[in-house]
Amino acid sequence: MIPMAGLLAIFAPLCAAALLDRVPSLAFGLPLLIAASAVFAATHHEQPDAIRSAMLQWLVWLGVILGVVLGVVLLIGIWV
Amino acid sequence: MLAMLLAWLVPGAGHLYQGRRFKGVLFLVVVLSIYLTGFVLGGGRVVYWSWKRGEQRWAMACQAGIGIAAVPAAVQSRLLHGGGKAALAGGFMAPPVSLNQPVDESYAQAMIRRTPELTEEDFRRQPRMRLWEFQRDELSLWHHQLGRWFEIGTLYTMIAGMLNMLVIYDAGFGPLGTTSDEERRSKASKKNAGSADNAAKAST
Repeated sequence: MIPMAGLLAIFAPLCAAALLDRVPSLAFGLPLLIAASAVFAATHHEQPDAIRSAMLQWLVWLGVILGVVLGVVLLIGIWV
Repeated sequence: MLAMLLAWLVPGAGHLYQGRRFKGVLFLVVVLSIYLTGFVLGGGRVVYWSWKRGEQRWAMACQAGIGIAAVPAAVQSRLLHGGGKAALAGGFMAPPVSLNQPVDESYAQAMIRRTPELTEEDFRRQPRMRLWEFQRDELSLWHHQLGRWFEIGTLYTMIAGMLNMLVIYDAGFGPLGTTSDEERRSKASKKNAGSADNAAKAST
């Protein structure tokens, strides 16, 4: 039996590649997402450790919010 | 104020001036790299200043947040639309020349050198003057040459400028008002201590 992690390791890159192929703006959006997370984190905290952890939190937040928006737009694009 | 001015001129310079090295270097690297990436993706054409009627470049309002890196655009726009009718440095960060816009002969030749699609026939020479009237629209040529890269480059440079506005605020007024993890923990421990005291008093 193939473990869950193995399935994820196989299918996650395939899904990511398919998504990048379908939505090229995703590749150009990622550097902006990382930059925005870094700046948002650094403008909310002062200590390097706090900035690092806040950057990850901002990355997840922004990624989820923008990902949902992108997903909805993608679905509308497919549906309409 | 000086730190804010420095932060506008060069991202992170205000923080470096204040001795906040980590943040200074972080802002310098992150904001400038996004700006330069956008500038390169856009073929060096996406940052220009134009407030001519019908041809306003609204993206510049955001791009100007990057400071000194956007200053040449303002200078070039003034030169091209001023009496000289020519921009410096072969048109680096100069606004596009529009239909029937007169430009100096030397600038027209510089345009021909840098744009393969252009020839001398795309200009109408004005008699007894060193001015040539452009018979095409340079912005359309840029869009044709660069395609989506023009928009992507514009987006990158705009976002870099807007992020630098946050950096300027941080240089002037410090981190935005959010509670840190330590503050949250100390508040929670005080609250717990307070409720434990109340419980002890109630039991006695």
